[in-house]
Amino acid sequence: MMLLLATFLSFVMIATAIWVILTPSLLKAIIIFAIVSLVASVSFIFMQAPDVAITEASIGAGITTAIFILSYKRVSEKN
Amino acid sequence: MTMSNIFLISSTSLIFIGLFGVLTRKNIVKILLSLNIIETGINLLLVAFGYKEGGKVPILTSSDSINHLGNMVDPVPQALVLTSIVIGLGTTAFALGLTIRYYKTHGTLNIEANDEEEVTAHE
Amino acid sequence: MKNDKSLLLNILAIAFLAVLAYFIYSVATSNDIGIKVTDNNVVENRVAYRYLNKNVLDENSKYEWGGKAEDSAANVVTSIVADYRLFDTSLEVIVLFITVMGFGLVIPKENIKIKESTELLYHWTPLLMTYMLLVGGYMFINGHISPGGGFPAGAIMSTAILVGVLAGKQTVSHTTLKKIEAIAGTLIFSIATLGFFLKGSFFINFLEGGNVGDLFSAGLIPILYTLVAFKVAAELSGIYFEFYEGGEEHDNV
Repeated sequence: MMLLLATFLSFVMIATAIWVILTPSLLKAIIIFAIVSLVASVSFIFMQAPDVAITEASIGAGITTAIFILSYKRVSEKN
Repeated sequence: MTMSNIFLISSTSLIFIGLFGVLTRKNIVKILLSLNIIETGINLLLVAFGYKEGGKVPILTSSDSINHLGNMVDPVPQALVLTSIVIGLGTTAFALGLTIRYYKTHGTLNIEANDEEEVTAHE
Repeated sequence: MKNDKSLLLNILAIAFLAVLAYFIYSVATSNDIGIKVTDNNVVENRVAYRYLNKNVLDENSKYEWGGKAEDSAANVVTSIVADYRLFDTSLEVIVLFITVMGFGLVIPKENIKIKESTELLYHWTPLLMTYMLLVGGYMFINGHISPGGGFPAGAIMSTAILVGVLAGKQTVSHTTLKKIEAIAGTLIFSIATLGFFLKGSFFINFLEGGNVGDLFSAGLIPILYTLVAFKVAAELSGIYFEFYEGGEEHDNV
């Protein structure tokens, strides 16, 4: 059961990573990258690393996305 | 197919998906997102190297767990990854600052659109 | 014409990277000559076994639940990050400081108005911030007996300040953040120097550790994690303030 769930999570992670690379919209790519980080933090829990999981969820999925979106606003507002 | 095989496969494929993005994309923000995907993949790979089948969390929770220290997973890669995530955020912020500066001077985010204008401007 | 060429290049890149990925995976799992990562991952054969038993320096320390040990933190990852490899961690905090400083140097300064927030966000912000700060505080106080620690605690506390910035509330000023960061950074290195004068080694854990599993245990680790949390929170919050900071720019272009 855990093995199936881990396989499913890895599949979701790889699929969303490919989506980030291929989508033409920048804002969409940034939001989907947050999903990659979130699923990665669940994978860290599967690998018995709760410290790393908390750090990845708060920094990788939270603050990195916030900084990317603030920069995106700064870059796109003049157009 | 065991658990650590699955994590090795997913992390190596994440690394190479990110490498593909860095090689082929033209937008700077897209390249930074690909770099972040590579970083996530490498963190997963490092923690997967320390994982063993049926391992436990390296935290003592009861008086019994001290007799089974050999059952715990390797804590050293986890400590390294903990610091590497924070440094990754710092470098990403610096790269985004450079991106905004590039956009202000060049007016675009594409890395190969402005080559001809550059040449004429200098002549 | 150009599209055909770029499609061909993409296919070539995918094929090359797939071969490389398969090679790395097969090396990592092979039983022949190679780097042999996964077939002998017994903890007893690794450096980590000394960390898990916690007798790296002191051969006589007896490690048991509720007893006294060389390092009495129940979380082994914390005792590696904040005790055995603390020099690494402190230099990493300096790297974070330098990158954030470089970010403030590089980003163009323009006066940007923050968009007016909605009523809902404006009135719920104080409650949200209180809960976020509480979670962050719990995390760095309990970092040595449960998952968590200084870095995620600092990140969560800076997220609280981000919510305040987005709602347009006046929470803390940029100069206060810089002062907090300077005080925390100075205290970390003065504690390190104090250890040098008391026990003769830089960054040594000179406080008496309590019993394994108690809240007041592990000696210096909760104090150092508190300082690291405040420093990381101040540094990361500085990033959000830099985005909205106006001012004169002196370019030589």
